[in-house]
Amino acid sequence: MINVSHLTRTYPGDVPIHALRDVSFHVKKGELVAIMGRSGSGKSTLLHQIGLIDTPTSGKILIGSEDVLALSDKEKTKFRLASLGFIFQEYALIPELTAWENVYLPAMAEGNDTKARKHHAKELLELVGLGNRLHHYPSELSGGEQQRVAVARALVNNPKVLLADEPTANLDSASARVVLELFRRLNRELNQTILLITHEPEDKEFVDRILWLSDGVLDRVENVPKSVQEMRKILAADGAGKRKQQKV
Amino acid sequence: MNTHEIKTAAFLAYKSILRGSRSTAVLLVFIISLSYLNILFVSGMLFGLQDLMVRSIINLFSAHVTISAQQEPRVKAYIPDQGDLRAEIETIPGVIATSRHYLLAGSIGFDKLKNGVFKYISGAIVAIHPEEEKRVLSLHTFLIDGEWLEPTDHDQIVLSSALAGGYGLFAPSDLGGVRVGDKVRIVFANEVSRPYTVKGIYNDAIGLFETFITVEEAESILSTHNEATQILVKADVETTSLDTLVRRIEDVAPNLKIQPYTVLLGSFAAFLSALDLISAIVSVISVLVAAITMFVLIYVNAINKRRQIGILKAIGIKSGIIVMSYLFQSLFYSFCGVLIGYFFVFYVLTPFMYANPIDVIFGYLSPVYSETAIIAGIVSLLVASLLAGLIPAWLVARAAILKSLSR
Ligand SMILES: Nc1ncnc2c1ncn2[C@@H]1O[C@H](COP(=O)(O)OP(=O)(O)OP(=O)(O)O)[C@@H](O)[C@H]1O
Ligand SMILES: [Mg+2]
Repeated sequence: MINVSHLTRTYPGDVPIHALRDVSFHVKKGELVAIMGRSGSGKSTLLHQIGLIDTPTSGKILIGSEDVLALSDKEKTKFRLASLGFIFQEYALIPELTAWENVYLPAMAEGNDTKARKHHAKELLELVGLGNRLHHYPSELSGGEQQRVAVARALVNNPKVLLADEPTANLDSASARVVLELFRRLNRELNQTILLITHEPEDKEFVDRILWLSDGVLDRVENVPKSVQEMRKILAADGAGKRKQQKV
Repeated sequence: MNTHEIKTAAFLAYKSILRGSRSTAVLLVFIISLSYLNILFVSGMLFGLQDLMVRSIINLFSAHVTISAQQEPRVKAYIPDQGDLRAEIETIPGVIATSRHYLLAGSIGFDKLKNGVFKYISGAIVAIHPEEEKRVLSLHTFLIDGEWLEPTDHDQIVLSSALAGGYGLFAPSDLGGVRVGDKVRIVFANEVSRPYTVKGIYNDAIGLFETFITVEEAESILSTHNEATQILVKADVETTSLDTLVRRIEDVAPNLKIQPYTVLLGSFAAFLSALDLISAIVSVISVLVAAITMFVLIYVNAINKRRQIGILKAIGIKSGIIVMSYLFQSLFYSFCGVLIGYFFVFYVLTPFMYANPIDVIFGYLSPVYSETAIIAGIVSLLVASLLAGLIPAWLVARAAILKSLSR
């Protein structure tokens, strides 16, 4: 789904900063991959290149079968709207729009201004557990709720890839867990490809693979052991079981 | 831009107006309505002043058409057979009334201290038929003392307050304080010298400096009969155009000099165009002040939303949509401003001004609005607000996404 090869990003200046050096990797469709590394290691820079909001110095990026770096600026904007879902660290909602309108906006801009899309936006908000917050403005939502609205917004145009830059960094651990579990569910239930930056070691258990960056170099790729994934399934089943029990 | 993009821009603008900063909105609308009010009212007052001046020239000085004695091929002193001529002119459609004048030169003398020493001032002496004059000009309404002349008055005059002196008006020189009932002496250019009693004094703030006697008196001084130096024609220029009127009079009086009031207005043209210029300058400054204020307000607003604009772009919203949403907002605010300004001018200020017109001595000044001024004001403010919205939005929206996102 994502094919990055020999990606380099150098910030020019008196002392040029090599934020990314010859990074290559591949993410399969339906994978949930984390990017980890120390502060300043180039995580955000990498995500910005894939998210087409920055231009690398050299290298190649394929998303699906599209050579995205060959696109014109106009086509990149269109590609972001139609094929990418971006989630930021904070303050990413439009304050003048309700939760529903925030989610619906990208669909409107894409021209899918139909009742079906509006309904889809509502379903997505229900999916992220905010079916009862449709008409609330961002200022009336908690940080975690705002972030879940942002997730719903990123999903509204059925993107090929979801990109998230430390989506839980500003949340308390409980809210962070809700958002991360949401990502896992999206990944498992909708087979959504997700690329996610995180700082927290304990987030490991939610992902399939980890790309470790260090000084702009892809240090190693860590496959999360099967056992952890198994445990994850059990945990999930357990969660489902608990819900069932509550219903009874 | 296709329909759904315009729709998205309109939606963003609508929500921003609905949920955005109230104080900014109020300030924007206030600024625009004030400048529209300024443009309309100042140009209205200046236009009113021009209109009043033109009306005053017609009412106090020249009527609509002035007919003078033959100039070509030989200059003649008088118009002959004025009675028949005027009767014929009065049959022309549109003509309301006519009157005749003799213009005499002379010196007016006053022995203030009754010791035989006269102070003389030379001036224009205009002979009128008092009743006919009332139908053409409205000088008789400017009397501040005494009475208007009667057709049979022989030894009476109506004097300008500026010449009489003591009325607090400027005159190159005056007689030192003549009042109604005082005796003065006039020495005419043909050396006829006669005593007169002052019957009335008119308010000469209008700047005529003329002394009035009756035509009968003038004919006995000039030894003329049924002649005139000039004939004034008052007409209804709403129904008959001035050009048509002049042509019809030329048909009746082929040898005479015929001048519509617009020719006389020529000497005021510089003043009138100065008023136009003032009005234009005030309008341009108003529009500029409004545009700059709007620009600053919208720019500050857009800078504050820099990150938000960056996010919109990052999720794939075209910068064109963002710029257009700002355009819609500023258009909306300026439309509201213009509307409020318009209503204030026409439903508050103007009725007030008509109820309390400004007394400028030769008439009452109230604003007069031309359609051009009304529309030009709207168009220039809308264009200004378009630019004031477009430029800052464009400046902010064109910035690189990562720059907008960073704090
Ligand atoms: N616009 C820029 N100009 C110059 N250098 C930059 C710019 N943006 C980032 N850098 C540098 O590039 C390097 C990588 O930055 P990046 O933001 O990708 O790090 P990160 O891994 O996301 O760090 P953090 O965990 O703190 O978010 C850093 O050394 C940073 O200083
Ligand atoms: Mg970062």
